[in-house]
Amino acid sequence: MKKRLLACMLVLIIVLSIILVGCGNNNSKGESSTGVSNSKNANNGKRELVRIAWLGLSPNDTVDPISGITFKGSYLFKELLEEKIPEAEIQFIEIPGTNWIQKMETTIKSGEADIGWYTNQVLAAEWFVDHRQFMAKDPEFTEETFEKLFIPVAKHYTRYHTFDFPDKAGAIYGLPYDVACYYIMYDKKLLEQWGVEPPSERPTFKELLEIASKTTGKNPVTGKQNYGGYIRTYWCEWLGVGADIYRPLSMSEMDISKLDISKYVDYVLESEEVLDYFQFLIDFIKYCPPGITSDSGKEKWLTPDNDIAVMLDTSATGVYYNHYLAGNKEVTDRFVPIFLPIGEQGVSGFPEVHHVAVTYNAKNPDLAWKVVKTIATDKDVLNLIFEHYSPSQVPALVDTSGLKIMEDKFAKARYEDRLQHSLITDDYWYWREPIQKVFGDLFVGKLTAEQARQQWHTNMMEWIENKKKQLGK
Amino acid sequence: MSNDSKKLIKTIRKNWGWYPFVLIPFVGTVMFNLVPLLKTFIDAMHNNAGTFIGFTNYEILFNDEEFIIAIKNTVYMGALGVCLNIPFAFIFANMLNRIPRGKNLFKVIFLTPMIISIVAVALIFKFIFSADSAGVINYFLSLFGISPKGWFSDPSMSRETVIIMAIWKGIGYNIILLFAGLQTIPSEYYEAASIDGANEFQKTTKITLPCLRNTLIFVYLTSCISVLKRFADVYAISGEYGNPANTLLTVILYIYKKMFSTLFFKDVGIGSAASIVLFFIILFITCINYILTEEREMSLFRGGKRRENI
Repeated sequence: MKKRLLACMLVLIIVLSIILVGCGNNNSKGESSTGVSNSKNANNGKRELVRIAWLGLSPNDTVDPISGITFKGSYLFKELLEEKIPEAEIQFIEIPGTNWIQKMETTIKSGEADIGWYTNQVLAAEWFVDHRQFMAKDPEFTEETFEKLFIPVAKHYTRYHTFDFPDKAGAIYGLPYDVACYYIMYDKKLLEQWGVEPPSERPTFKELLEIASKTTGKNPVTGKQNYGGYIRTYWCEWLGVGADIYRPLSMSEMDISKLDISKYVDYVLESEEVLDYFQFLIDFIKYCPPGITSDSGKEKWLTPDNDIAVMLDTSATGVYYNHYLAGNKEVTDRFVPIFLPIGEQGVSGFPEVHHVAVTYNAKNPDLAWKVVKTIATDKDVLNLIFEHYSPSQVPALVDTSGLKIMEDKFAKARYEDRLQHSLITDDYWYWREPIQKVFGDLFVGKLTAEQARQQWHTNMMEWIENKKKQLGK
Repeated sequence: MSNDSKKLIKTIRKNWGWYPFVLIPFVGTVMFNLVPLLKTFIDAMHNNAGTFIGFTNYEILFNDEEFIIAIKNTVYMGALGVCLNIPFAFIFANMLNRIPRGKNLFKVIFLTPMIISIVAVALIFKFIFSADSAGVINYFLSLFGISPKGWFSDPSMSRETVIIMAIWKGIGYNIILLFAGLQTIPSEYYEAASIDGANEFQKTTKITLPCLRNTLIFVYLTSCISVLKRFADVYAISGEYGNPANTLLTVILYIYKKMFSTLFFKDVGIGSAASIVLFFIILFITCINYILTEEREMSLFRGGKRRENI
C-alpha cells in the first residue's frame, strides 16, 4: 500500500513537472519569461519585447584586467535603445565568445531571440530572414539606402554569397554596424637595442623578414634570447591576402559547378606570389620561438620582458588596444602598431564584418527590424557601441560624422584602411579551408614552398569536388 | 486466458508501483542519448542546406586524409595511454596497499590532479615542457648536455607528451579503484603462500592478479572507452587545430572542427558522419573487450564447475 502510494505520488510529480515546463515561457499569449506581457494591453503601456542575442555583452559593468577600463553593461545599451524606440522593451541575451556559433544557433532556433548577431557566417541563411522584405515596404530604408549607407566591405559581406545556399545569393541578412581591422606590431625598444631600423607604417613581407633575421639571437644589450618574430599557425591565410595569393571571386549565381577552375584554382600552380608567400612563411618561422606550432612562446608579448621583435599574430595585437584606450604609455610608447602588408591588388587582412539581424522566428519582425536599423545607423547608439562594446572595431557607415571614435587618429586610420584595402570576394571557403590544411605541415618543415603550393591546389580541387557531391552537382 | 498471461498480469499488478521509478532514467536515456543519436544519424545523411544526400558524407569522410590521421592518432594515443596507465596504476595501488601509515594522505595526493581543471593542467605542462631552452625539462636536460626538445611543439613527440600529461591527471582514479580491489583480497592467501615458500612475483601473479581480475577488467574497459574519446587534453594543448602537423588531431577534435569551430568551415553532415563512425568504433572495441573478458570468465566458470563435479 505504501509502495503504491509512493508510486502514485511520483507519477503525479512527473506529470505536473511536464505540464509546468510545457506551459511555462509561453510568449505567444499572456506573460513572457521576463514577466513582461507582449500584448498591447500590458501594465507598462505599449512596449513590446524584443530579445537581442549579442556576443560577449555582459549585463553588468566589467573591468578590463589589463587596462583597468570599466566597460558598461548591456543595461546602458538597453536604456538607450528604449529611449530611441519607445514601443520596444529590450532584453539582451549574452552569448559567450567560446563556441558562440553553436550558442547563437541554439538561442535562435529555440525561439529565444528576435535579433541575432553574426559575422561572416554561412549559416546566416538558416538563422535570419532576408531583410529585403523589410526594405521593400520601408520608405525610410530601401535597398538603395542600404547601398548608399555602408562602406563597400560592409555591404558586400552583408549580401549573402555562398555555395551552400546558391538560391539565396544576394539576400541581405541583417545590417552591418562595425568592421574589424587587424594590425601587426613591432617592439621599438627591442629594435633599438639591436640597432635595426623600424619598419614602415605598411611594411612589405621582405622588410618584415629582414627585421626578423636581424633581431634573432642574443640581445646585444640584455644578453637574453630574442626572436625576430611570432606568427600563429592559423590565421596565416589572412596574412596571405596582402601577398596577392588569392583571386577575388565574383559569381552572381554561386553555382559551384560553374566555378571557373582555371581562373580561380589552377592559377595557384603557376603563381609566383603563392610560392613567394609560402617561402616567406618557411623563412620567417626560423626566427620564431620554438613553441609556435603549439601556440606557445608569446607569453611575454606587451610586457617589459618581451623577447619578440615583430608580432604577426593579430590575436595578440588586439590586446594592445585596451592599453591604448587606457593611455598606458609604458606599452604604447614601446609597442607600435603597423598595417598589414598589401600587394598589387591593394588588399589585406580578414574582411570581418559584424551584423545584427532579425531572426527567422522573431515574434515581432517589424519592430525587430526597427531595432536593427537603429543599432546600425543611429549615431548615438553607435557611439555607445564603440565606447563600451566594440572599442577596437571601426564603423561600417560611409558617413562617419558625429561618431566620436573617428576623432581618434588610430581609429580613423584603421577605418580608412578598411575602406580602401578590404578584400572583396563572393566566397573564400573554397581556398581558406584547403590552405589551412597546408600550414600544419609547413610550420614543422614537412613541406617546401613548391610542395605546399601543390598541396594547396590538390586540397582546393578536393574541397570543390566534395562540395559538388554534397550539392548533387 | 492462458496461465502465462494470468501470471504476467498478476506480476504486473503486484509490481507496477516500481515502474514509475524506472521511467525517469528511461525517459532520460531516450531524450538525451537515443534522440540525439538518431538526430546525428539523420544529419549525417544531409548537407548544410538540409537536403538528403544518402551516404555522400561518409564517402567524403573516408577519403579525407585528416580523418584517417585522426583515427590513427586516437588509436595510437589510446593504446599508449592504456598500456602505461593501468600498469602504473597497479604499481602505485600496490605500494599504497603496503604502506603501514599515510594511506589517506597518499590517496589525496593521487586524486588531486583529477580535480584540477584540464586547462590549468595544460598550462602547467606547457610551462614544464616548454620548447624553449629555458623550459623546466629542457633546462634539466641541458645540465646533462642534452639539446632542448620540442615536446608539445615537436610532431615526433607531441602525442607522447600529451599522454604523460593525461596519465598524470587521470591515474588517480585507476589507483583508487585498484587499491579498493586489493583491499578485498584476504591476507590469509598471502600468508598461506608465504608458508608454501612463494616469492613476491609468484604471489602477485598467482594471487593478486587473479583476485583483482574483475577490477582490472572494469578499469581496462572504462579506460578504453575514455581514451577513444580523447578531446579536452589535446584541445587544451593545441586548440582547435590539432597541431603540430595534425599529430594531436583526434576523432573528437576532428568532429569539433567540423561542427563547433569558429575558425573552420562548419559542415554538420561530415561532423555527424564522423560521430557515427566513432560510435561504431567504440561499440566494436567495447564488444570485443567484453566478449574476450566474458569468454575467459565463462571458461573459468566451466572449469570450476568441472572441478566441483569431480
